[in-house]
Amino acid sequence: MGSNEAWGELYRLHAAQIFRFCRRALPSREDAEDATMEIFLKVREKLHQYDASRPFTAWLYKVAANHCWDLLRRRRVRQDLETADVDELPLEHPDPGQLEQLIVERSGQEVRRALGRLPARSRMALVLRYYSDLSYDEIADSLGVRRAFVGVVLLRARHQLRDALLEGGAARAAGAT
Amino acid sequence: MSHVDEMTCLLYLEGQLERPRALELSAHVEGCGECRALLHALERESRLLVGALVEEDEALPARIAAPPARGATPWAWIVSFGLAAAGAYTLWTGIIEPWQQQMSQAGFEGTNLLTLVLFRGALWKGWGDMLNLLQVVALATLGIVTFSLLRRSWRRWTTIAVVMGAVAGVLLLPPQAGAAEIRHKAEAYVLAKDEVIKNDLILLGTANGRIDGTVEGDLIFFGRSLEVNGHVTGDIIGFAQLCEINGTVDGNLRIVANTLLVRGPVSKNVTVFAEHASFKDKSQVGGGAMLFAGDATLGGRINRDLLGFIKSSTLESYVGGDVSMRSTRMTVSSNAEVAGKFTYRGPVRPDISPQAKLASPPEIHIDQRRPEYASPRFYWHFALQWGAGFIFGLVVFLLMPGFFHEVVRSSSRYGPALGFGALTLFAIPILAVIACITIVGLAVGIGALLLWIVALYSAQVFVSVWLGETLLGPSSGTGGTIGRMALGILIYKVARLLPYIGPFVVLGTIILGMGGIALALYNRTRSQTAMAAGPAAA
Repeated sequence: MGSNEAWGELYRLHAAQIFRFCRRALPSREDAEDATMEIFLKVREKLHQYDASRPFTAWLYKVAANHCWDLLRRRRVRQDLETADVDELPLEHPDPGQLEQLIVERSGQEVRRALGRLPARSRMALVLRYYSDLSYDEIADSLGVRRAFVGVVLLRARHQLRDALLEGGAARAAGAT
Repeated sequence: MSHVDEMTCLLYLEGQLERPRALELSAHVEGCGECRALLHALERESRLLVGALVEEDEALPARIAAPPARGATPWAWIVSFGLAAAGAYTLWTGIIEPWQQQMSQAGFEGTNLLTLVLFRGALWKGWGDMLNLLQVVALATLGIVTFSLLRRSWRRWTTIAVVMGAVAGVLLLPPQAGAAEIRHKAEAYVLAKDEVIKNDLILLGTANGRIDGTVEGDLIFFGRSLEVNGHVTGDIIGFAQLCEINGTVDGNLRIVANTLLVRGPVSKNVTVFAEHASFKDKSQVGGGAMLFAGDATLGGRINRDLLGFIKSSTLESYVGGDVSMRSTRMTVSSNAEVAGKFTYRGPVRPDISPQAKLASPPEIHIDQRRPEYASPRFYWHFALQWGAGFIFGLVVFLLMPGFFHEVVRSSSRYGPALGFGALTLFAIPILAVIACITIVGLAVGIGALLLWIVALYSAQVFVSVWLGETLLGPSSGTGGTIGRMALGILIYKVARLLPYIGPFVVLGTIILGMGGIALALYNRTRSQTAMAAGPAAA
């Protein structure tokens, strides 16, 4: 009974943040709801594997990331970034003024909408880094890429996000006229 | 130092640069406004991202407000296993064993049901010769599956080399001797009167086949029409719209056809699945006959037992063994003769001519229209049916909880679900039969048909959960969903017993449930496509 109460407390503390994580990482609300339940079932099964010397939330996000990524891979979502084209990412120095202009006064909702249009891996990488605050090692492990490529994956994802924001802005402007 | 690239700036901001490189960059940025501006913009972008992602824009949905409870289900498992064991025992003693006995009486000794199912019985004789073709198809499929499984973990070219090497190795193994003569997809095939094929003959996708000559082996036919005027020394296995057997068959006759006409002698047993079947006066069956037909006229001679599931049947023949018939209507004409027992089961009494020669008084069972509510057996069967549905639902729920909820949600969208359901219910069997006609599509066709049958049965489970949730409100957790499912199935099973309304309840449930499954699958493929193509899904 005590363990059930503790379990309920743990769920109450973390369910919302895991649901939000799933909501950002997966394509639909229904998927996110189901995934949240499944993640907590997994957490309950694997709780004995948790290393208490590490932060609990990091471990929780790791389980969630693995589950969501498996889910997306099982659905044969296009692998948007293969190792080959990671090598070909151009090293350039963008115009800081243009970048500032692009991101200035963007609402969270606009960014989330743009994020929803990204390929699965890019979106997952951004969520793992900027929502879950996972380290580069953990991201590499979750996404199955070499650690050296994590930065490239993130930068590519940011470029795609900028394109999506631009498209969204253009569509909105066209709708307004 | 020239301007720093964006990648290095990002790694610097994220604390991923090695210390000497970070110090170098830091020094450079102090004197370079351009790079400082880039760092500033990237940092701002990071803040924007973090802000957008952590923003609490949605509350936790009520459905998942309570933690999932896994420990609450052992009772369900115990009940399920108990019911499953009881169901299996009843199935075996009530259906399979009597069937085996009947089949044995009908001339199928030595061919028990299991071997029949496992392709070793007489019904499947002849498939062995197609093994070479099937092996290649199976091997190719296995290769593709292995490749796709290993693709993620190995480097692609290594995988291709290993899998293709293995496939080539197996293909290079010496083929089995005694392959059959196989003809593919001809408009017409005629084996002339004087021609002899000293082997099995397999005609696949041939529109019209005519055998006037001799086949010294089995004849296997998939096509539109088959006419056998000559002599087949082995079995005939045929899938055809029209099948006429005027010649002599020394083996068994196994036919799936719209119309079957038999005018010649068949030395062994006959198994028929047909809309119309007619055994003319000159026909002779050396063994027993088993028929599943819409209507059948049985003339000539059947030397051993006759077992029939025929909507409308007319018996004019001599039957050397027992007759066991289940029909809606049956006529036994004056020239019919039955040497063994005559057993009939149906809704109305058969019309038996007084001149018909029956060795013993006929045993006639008239079906009761109403279920026998007073009998404990009725309630036992009801409990078993409920248990079977419940166990099935439990297995689906525990194996695929996400998909399960999706189907239940989709079923509640009546309009699209009913439309999709009706379409799926009728279109899939038709497409599967079309696929079966071409041998390449045979596996696809049979696979689709099997999935369709599973979907047909599972429809009741999904609709029952929806019904349970409508009555008790949405569930939170595994135990709640299972409880709602149990209640929903109970209500459904009771509703289908209602006179007049029952059949509509069944049909409506099947259509709605199948629609839910189709919609859920459609949504899944759409969301995958959406994710792959990039349009907004949030």
